[in-house]
Amino acid sequence: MRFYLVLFALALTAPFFTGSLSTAGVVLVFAIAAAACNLLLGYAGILSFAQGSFFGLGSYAVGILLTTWPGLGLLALPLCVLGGALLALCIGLLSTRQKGIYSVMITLAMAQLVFFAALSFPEWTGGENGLLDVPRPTLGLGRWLNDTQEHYLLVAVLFVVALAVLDRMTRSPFGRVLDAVRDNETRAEVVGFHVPVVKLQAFCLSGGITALAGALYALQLRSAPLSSIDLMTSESILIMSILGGRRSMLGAAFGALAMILMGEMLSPIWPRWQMVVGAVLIGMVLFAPDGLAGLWQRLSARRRTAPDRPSHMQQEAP
Amino acid sequence: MTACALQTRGLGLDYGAFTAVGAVDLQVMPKTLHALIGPNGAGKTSFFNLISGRYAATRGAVELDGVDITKMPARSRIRHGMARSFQITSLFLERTVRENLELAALGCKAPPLLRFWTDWSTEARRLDGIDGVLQELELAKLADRPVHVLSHGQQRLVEIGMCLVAQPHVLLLDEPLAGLGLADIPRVAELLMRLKSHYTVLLVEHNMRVVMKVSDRVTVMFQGQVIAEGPPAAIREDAEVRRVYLGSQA
Repeated sequence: MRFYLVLFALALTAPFFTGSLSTAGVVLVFAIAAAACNLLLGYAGILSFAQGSFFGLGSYAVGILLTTWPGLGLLALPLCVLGGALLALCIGLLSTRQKGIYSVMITLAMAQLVFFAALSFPEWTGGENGLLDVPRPTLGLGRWLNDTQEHYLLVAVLFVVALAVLDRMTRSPFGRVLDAVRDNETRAEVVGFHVPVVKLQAFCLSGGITALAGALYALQLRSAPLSSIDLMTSESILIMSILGGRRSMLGAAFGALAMILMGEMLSPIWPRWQMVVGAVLIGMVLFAPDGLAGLWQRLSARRRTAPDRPSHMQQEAP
Repeated sequence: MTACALQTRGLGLDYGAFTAVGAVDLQVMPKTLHALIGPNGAGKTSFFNLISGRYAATRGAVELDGVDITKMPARSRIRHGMARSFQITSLFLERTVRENLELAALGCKAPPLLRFWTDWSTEARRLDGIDGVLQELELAKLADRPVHVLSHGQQRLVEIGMCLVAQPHVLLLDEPLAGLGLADIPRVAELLMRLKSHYTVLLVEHNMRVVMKVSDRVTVMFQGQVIAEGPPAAIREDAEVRRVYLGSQA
């Protein structure tokens, strides 16, 4: 219950943190992507550099669909999810055959391949310029809300839905088995689970939801930039996931918020602001490996035990 | 003569030029406890891994209840009624005893694509036999403890429990007594006696006293081959076995 309250509160208050509806929209979009990344990184224990490919695919797919058939409207979004899941199926089929570092390398190679594919078909993707003039589907609330507000509402609703779905997944049989696979892959196999299929399923679900985030991002910008499919996007998503806490869907949302706020605040002061992000990341990995979510848990655990301490001391005192 | 629960015909494994398991014929009768013994390096564990499907056989065949399962992957064998335990305890350490058993119970019947929309706790409640196994192994009191805080002996019991919840008819136990304290050994030996009235058990074990006490039949392996087979009393008297295996103790 508290989880949903925090989700709603975050969706409602993000514009105040970030100062504008459009930045808040970007935060929620990346929150979805980082949470989907958590499913792989935190639960399945898979480090994937292909998250940016799924994200970019969603951006391009929504752009191509809506410029070709503007009548599709919101139906374009589930098609993007499907597209992301299909790409994840292709990449996952290759990467889940290998373990450890080899699997990571395959996702990295595939991410590069997808990037250059996007660059090589400018008639579809607009090449280096990206895909411009992506129309936003309308929700039909024009009488009460302007275009920006309407889009933020769409993003906020899908943010709540996506994180709720992901959180539910982690508590489903699928989520438990993902945990088991990460914990002891050999045993999971012997107990009867088809580990490669389980991993592939995680890839597809994560890829589909990441593509949804990418699609919303393109609608937010009204364009699908080439940068949405590059390796840097994969890295940003991974950093948000680690900053926020890779085993908490809410943590991922706060990771996205922290990362984007850092960019907003620091980039006007220092063009090399990403070095600060690097330092923060190293600090978090060393001292708070469970990210912001882990810090929060530690703090609230301390607060809960704090009232006990004086009574303990009284008992011990002679 | 009744049909075998488990049978191997000329089953063997080569590691390159080295023959780990020659060509082993083994017949395990239903509802009996069949022990596999032999000095270190005799090929027991390799043979065990061939039966459980962890290694692919170089030659020969494995039959479970008369069905050839030689080519069947390990994860499918559990669905055909064959469960195995590990010599080195292999559990989901972060999870509780109950959750380990639940995962094992789910594993043997879950479809390859797992449900991601239902809640685990409602799903787990539908799995039956967990409480029975907890009772049987006297683990009920520890059910909600994470496995990594349990003693080694208790972990060995969870290891066996994970096989039992799959409701197998053939149980492969790889050194269930390995590393147990003296106090725990009679308890597990007693458990083995109880298990053989419900299951067909193939046991690899080094503890001779227990093997001789609980087994119906004993097969002795040496250098990848079977050198003797028979009831425990006969094996104890077998001159060849004494020479290669019991030599120092005889």
